Amino acid sequence: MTSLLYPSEPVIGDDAPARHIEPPRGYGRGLDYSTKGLGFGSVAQPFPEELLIPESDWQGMIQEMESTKTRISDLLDACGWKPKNQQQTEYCWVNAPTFCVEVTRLKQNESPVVLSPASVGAQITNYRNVGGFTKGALDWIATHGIAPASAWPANAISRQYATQDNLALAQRYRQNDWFVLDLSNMAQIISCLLRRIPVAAGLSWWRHEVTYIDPVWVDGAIGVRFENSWGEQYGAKGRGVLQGRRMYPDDACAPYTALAAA
Amino acid sequence: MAEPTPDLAQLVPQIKAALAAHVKTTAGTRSVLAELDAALHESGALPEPTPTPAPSGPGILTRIAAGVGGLVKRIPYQAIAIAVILVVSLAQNGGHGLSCSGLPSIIPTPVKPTVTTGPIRVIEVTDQAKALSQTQLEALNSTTVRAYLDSHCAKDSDGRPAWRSWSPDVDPSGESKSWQDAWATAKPLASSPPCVVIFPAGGLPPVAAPLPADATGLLALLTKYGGK
Repeated sequence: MTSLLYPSEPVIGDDAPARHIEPPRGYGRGLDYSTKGLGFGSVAQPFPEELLIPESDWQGMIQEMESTKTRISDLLDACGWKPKNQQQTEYCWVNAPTFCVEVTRLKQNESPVVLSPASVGAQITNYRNVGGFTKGALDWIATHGIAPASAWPANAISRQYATQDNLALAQRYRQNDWFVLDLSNMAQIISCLLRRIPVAAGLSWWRHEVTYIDPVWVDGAIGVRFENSWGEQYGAKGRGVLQGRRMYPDDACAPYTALAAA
Repeated sequence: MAEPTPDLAQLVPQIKAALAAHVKTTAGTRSVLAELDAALHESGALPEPTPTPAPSGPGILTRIAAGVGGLVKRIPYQAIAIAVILVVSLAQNGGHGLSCSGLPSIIPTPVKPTVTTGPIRVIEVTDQAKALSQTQLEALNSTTVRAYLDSHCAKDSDGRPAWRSWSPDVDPSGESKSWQDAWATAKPLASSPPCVVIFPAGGLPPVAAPLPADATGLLALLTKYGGK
């Protein structure tokens, strides 16, 4: 059994060609662990052991969720949800957790609101276009929330949008709960994905952060489908597959409950 | 002996006929008919003795009649007739409802509650931090179930389908007043997640059910209230 890939979906293994890894011209990435120490995780939880799914079950469960069309990618397609597009910003580390919040809200059937990564990244970095890391972003999102892109443009690193109204509006779009996954623990990551919990994954080798959305089984091995933040022109409408050493992240968080808000 | 009221006098033959139709199959049930005769006789509901032979020993109705003594004579005849029919019918049906075909409608027949189908409001209550079975995960993430909910749920004020999938400790303060009220009603019913709380059409009280084992079961549950 091999997962059915989306048309033109790249599989990025250990020998992936550069064209699938390098950002499009003028695009940013932004993963930067040097900012660690800002404090994070006040409401995060470690991954519960009881949620671990044995490796021997993975292939069968992947086949089942593909045949029943109950993957996160199926949800996104059913809702017509678009990938994030960070453009020139170095805010991949905010785009991925922001996308996770959007997925969680779709699962909860909250109003489908496109959220603004810049409303988080700009405030964390004091309006600089620099990198960061997942947990720092999620800690901010849990406390302050994310402004809708309709109020604060998705890539606008500008104080002019930090109005009282927008800051109050952002409070409606907070993440309540997430798991902090152990370093490079693929068992935890795959268990989250099998449970339809998206994972924001920072990849040092790529200096980039993406959102893992589905587990896949390709050529007899486990892999992960990710949603990139380089717009729809990347891969298969913004998606690709990571396998082998490439799929092991250096930090990973799995948000699973968003504040209920219209 | 009290004079039977005219309406009861008219009812007695019909009661007897209906009971006879029910009890003519076994000797044991024939004795019930005889006891009914005796009880009706003693109460004065029957003006003349009937040709039905008396039972060989005291039956339950006779003992009841004897136990209550003269009180029986002061009880309205309609009440006695109803009591007799209840005893016989319950004995015949094992306690599961009445069977009084042929009787005038003096006894209300229990009516099975009917479910009104129509636009529903639904809250799925699940804790993502707790393990669910694979088929339950499929049910919660099924695009088929989602399509059903989208098309069969009532519409919120913003036009969106009125269903949510929330954790047991959800904070709905950012939701509309109607959803905050819905959660206040649903939360006590959702004390054992994973479960589904359905608000039927017509403002009927919400019902809670454990999350079915799979998508087919969840669809069946939703269809019961939301229609096909």
